[in-house]
Amino acid sequence: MNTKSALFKEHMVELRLFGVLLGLMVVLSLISDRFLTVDNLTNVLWSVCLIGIMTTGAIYAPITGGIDLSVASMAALAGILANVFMNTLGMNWIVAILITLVIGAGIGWLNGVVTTKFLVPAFIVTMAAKTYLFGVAMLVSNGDQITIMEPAPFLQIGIGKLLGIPIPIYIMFTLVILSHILLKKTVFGRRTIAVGANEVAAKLTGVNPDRTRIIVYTISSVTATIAGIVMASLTQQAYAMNATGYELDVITAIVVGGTSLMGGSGSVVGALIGAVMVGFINNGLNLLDMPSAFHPIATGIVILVALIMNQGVSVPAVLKRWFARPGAAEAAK
Amino acid sequence: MSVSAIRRLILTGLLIAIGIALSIANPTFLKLDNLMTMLQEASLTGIVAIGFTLILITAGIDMSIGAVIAITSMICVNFISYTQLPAYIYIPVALAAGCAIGWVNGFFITHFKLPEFIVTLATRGILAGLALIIAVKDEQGFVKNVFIEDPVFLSFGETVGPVYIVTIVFILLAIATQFFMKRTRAGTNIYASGANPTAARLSGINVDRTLIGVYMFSGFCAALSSIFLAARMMTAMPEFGIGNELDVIASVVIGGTPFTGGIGDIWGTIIGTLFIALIKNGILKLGLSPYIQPIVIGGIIIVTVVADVWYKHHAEKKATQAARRKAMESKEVGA
Repeated sequence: MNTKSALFKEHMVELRLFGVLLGLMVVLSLISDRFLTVDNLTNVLWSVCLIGIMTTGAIYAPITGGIDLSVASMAALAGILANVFMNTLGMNWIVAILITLVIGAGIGWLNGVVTTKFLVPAFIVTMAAKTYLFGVAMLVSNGDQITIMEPAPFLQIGIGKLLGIPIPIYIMFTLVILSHILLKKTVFGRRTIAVGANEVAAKLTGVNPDRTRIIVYTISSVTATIAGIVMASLTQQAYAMNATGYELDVITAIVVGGTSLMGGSGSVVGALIGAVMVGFINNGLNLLDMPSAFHPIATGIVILVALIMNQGVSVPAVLKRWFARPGAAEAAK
Repeated sequence: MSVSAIRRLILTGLLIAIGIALSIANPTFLKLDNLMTMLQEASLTGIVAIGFTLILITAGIDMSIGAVIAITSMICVNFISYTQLPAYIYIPVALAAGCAIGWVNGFFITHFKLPEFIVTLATRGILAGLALIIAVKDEQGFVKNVFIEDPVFLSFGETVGPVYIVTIVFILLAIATQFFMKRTRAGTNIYASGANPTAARLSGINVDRTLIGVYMFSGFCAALSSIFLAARMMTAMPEFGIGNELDVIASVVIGGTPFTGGIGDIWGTIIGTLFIALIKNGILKLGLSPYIQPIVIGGIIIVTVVADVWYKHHAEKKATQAARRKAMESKEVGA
């Protein structure tokens, strides 16, 4: 096989996704004439940015066969903590952000340690983390929606522009590029994929699966913290419910992007396209004036469909086997 | 004494200790009213937890239980507002809906070989959205608070003597399920499918069908709990039960059913439910911030699991040491 077609094959998933994305854009612009306006696309961009930043780190957990459900609560808590450090304790905004990032990393590290050293399923650990982080966020903020008015440089992170492009876009693309390089070009990335594909084999070749996983959950939590800081600065608000439900969007973006939740493979670029797609689907539902209740329904259906496609099982075959007489399914195995 | 017996003794001891501490801190805790209300709360979680125990025994997970509660209560409310059908017709319909949702979960998990957790998370989203859509709305399109006046339906929230009906149903269901799990072939199949699915399949157990059955039972339990919840509240909201998953998971895990499958029983779950209900009631009675509740519940899950793993390591170490000592002794005897 020549290199050109190999390259094409390697990026098949991304190319196909891009095609679906373009199709979705065409459909949406046909359905609603408000879709292709600058205002609307900017709106989509904000939500894509936040989900995109979270996915760059959260994607590693599924690649190792785990999952991180705590990203949304972590993001909300990060905004609240940054606000406390800056405005209640009067710290410099850079110091405040750094401390928040360290706390985020610490929580991710804890998730990783509990998952690996105590053999608890990742989704249980991170769901418990989601719950207690939400509780802490509520306690710290007293359940209030706190408006962040200062410091000005902090607010520039979210609303500032460089060369006419909003700063969050730069942050997202920087993280996507870093994450892509980390996954595809570094030893750590290869280790992550190896641990997800076959932990025993990885161990025998000298990879420390526990350490890899702990780093993975730390990265996931750090990017969630970054997303939380961007969100707090963008919305000028710190609120415990700011990011409620984002974890499902993040998982959808990852799954749509072609990453198997069983572990062993993944694509950061695919997840970015997935995040854009999630943004468009949510936006499309809004433009069609659908009630917000359709949002989780659409997300759930997209997850199931994407999962079945990733799994590579043929739906007609499964249905045929199911409709066959009872016991036939067992006999066929 | 077996490990699970020791665990139960410790838990029961803790239950009594926390109970005594609470009754000293707040004398209203020991009032019959409060105790019965606490039992009622525990039973509502407990009925769901019974189904969830079976799921954990098969090494699966069901995140959709909260959303099942929401949607089945919405189905009941729809029947009440738009039809004149009596309760003994729509309650079976609601229970069947719970089973049907469980079947769909099980179908996706077994036939498409998808991870349990993500399938039920997806159905959770779909059901939570559907519950909002089918909720009874007023003219402006806002969700209306329907007051349930059907006496037959409301009788589910009544008491027999001082004990709420839901508590009695919980205990009966627990006994029946425990009997089913330990004394019938289907129950043994469930344990086998959880402990080692491949071995179970090779010994002729229809693992797929067993799993689908377990998910259906979990859906049924959630639906049953939702009816008692709606009857107790005398109304139903589309947010019912959403987010209750963690309480249920905490109850089951603290009761000694691990995530690894193949082990666990209902007695542990009963003690676990009581424990969680007591903790929640205690936080309320001590006048602490309600935001502490999720922190405590999340913490309990992690501490329990960590303690379990520590104990397991300790036991394994002891067992290998004992085996080594025995081998040494027999060698000496041989020499």
